[in-house]
Amino acid sequence: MSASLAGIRPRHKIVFETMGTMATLTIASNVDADQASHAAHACEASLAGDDHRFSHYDERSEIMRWMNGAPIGEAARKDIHFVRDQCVLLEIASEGVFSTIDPATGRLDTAGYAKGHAIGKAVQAVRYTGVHDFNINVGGDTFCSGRPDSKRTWSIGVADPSRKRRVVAVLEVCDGAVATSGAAERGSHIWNRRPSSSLLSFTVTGPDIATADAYATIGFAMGESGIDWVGQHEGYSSLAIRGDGVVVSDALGLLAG
Amino acid sequence: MGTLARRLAPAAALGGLAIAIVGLLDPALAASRLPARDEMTAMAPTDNAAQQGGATTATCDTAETVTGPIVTTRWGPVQVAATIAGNTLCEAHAVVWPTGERQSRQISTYAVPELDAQATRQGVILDGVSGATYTTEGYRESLQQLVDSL
Repeated sequence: MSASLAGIRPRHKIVFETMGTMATLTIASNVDADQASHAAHACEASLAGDDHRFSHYDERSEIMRWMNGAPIGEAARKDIHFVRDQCVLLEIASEGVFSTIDPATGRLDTAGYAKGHAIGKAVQAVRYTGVHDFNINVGGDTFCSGRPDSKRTWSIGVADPSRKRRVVAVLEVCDGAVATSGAAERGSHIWNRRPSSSLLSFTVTGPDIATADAYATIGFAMGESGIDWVGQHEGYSSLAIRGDGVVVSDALGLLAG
Repeated sequence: MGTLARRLAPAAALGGLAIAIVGLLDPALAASRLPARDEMTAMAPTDNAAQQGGATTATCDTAETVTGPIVTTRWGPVQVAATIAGNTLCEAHAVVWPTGERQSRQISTYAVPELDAQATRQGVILDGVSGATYTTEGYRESLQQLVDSL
């Protein structure tokens, strides 16, 4: 224990503010400080760029300018179109549970997908710097790449929505996303929550962070039946916390598999 | 969390994703302490790695053992015990698991040994926390902030 714990420290940890929340980049200890610093800059710049691109809170953001008919760059336009199209596909797949239109304004709202999309791009940005063992967490949605050290996989706690600083489960992840949607959600627009849903939170694991994030939003809105809905998609699994505190998950299948 | 229920997934291709629930914890139920098991006692004297690493957090040698509630699943009762120091899950293992039915045995064969194997795997550290999106302000009170402060 002593040797193994002492051996994996220090890891590189960079905490910064982005998209109205906090982001943490954790890089494995086998990466040297210069490379970690390079990766951190790439990660932060990527997220800052997408904050400027997709923010609905900033009238000068590229998506707001695009919606207002103002000219934007070609790369930005293609990226916004991609996100819009993914939102539409998710709306169809979820039979309208996931909505791309903000009912308050009647305008396009990509917030349910754009944040995960931005995290996915930040993952690529870090990998381009040659770093492959890292974890990015943006406001509670996280992507794990590789391993923190040769002996471990990434351990991601699922927050207990009823008690601060508690977890209800710990997930072991090598390469994949863990995204959670909950009643205390900020910036996630769960318009069409079914009355039957009384969940406190809904966590999805899977290979793609943007998809996992959107599925968490959909699952939370669907209620307990969201577990079956998410499970229809290959590679995705979920864990829900019901209003009565019961934890329901299909993740045991992953254990058994 | 009062109770726990889990359901089996249809056999899903996992690709590069490997996920296992290593422990279901309910530290709020710390009142129901377990007497330390032999192996916990045995590992305790060497569990001060965090101190050696210069960290000021609680270490596994001062960890408390807490037990989750006995929860009824469709395969039978499951109960997990864990030792926790700060945000470090030092150990988690099943103390009660389903027996009897065929389905239960199947679960026991795979899932519970997986949980139980964690008893010998020391020093499970939380690398991060997934939860409903918080604001910058909310981060200050989050478990993620605690993890980051280590």
